[in-house]
Amino acid sequence: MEPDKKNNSLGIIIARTSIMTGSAMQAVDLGVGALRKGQEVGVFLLSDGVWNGLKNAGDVSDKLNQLVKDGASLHISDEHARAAGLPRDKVIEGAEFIDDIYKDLVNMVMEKWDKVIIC
Amino acid sequence: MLNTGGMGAATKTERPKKKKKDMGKTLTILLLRGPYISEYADLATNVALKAKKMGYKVNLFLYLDGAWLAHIKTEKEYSNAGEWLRWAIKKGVTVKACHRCSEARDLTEDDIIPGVEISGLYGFLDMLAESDKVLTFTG
Repeated sequence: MEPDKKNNSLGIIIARTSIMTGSAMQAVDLGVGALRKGQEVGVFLLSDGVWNGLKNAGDVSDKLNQLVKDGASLHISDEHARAAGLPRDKVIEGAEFIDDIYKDLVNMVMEKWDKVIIC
Repeated sequence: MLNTGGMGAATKTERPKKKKKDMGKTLTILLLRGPYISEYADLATNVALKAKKMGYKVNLFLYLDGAWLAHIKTEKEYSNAGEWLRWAIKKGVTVKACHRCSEARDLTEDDIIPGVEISGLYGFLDMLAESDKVLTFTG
């Protein structure tokens, strides 16, 4: 299927861990589907959602890792990662740590992504 | 020559007001969770504040337990979403709370932060109609 040129990018904001809700997995699954259809996919982890960025943690983490390998961008709130004690060397390779999270998040939501989902 | 002007006439140099940025787009945020049970209220208010600062028009609609956010009226010794909500209103974010949700929680105009309008869902539809993007904090 040809990608819709008007809706060619999907932003996924994850603010919860995979054990708090099944919706983190559903959101990443949507990302896999969007990527397969040729859409650009960006994932932004903040709040408790930063734990999904831990590599080799199974579940959402493994799927997210594959999503990044397949071309999605992964952004992690530095502030929340530090608050959670998430070691930088244990996150999924290719992840970008974001300093000014709200500025970058608003920019992505308003200017970069065509559609946004939050879980 | 006598200065016959009013208070402060010709003595005070007024700084030119900074023209506010206008990005020409509208962000609407729907909050369905109450404060302190998760970080959603904090995230919603902080995103609203930053988006407003960046020059976007911002609407915030408080729905279901999100209506409780408007109830944090007093100063606290710690940062809290109520403080950010008051700041957001001061900065020009339009905030409405669902009428039915507020009434069900016995939240009246007297109980909530001044500047929050108790509105029917049509108020939310108006927000949606003018929005370029909508962020929903739920779950």
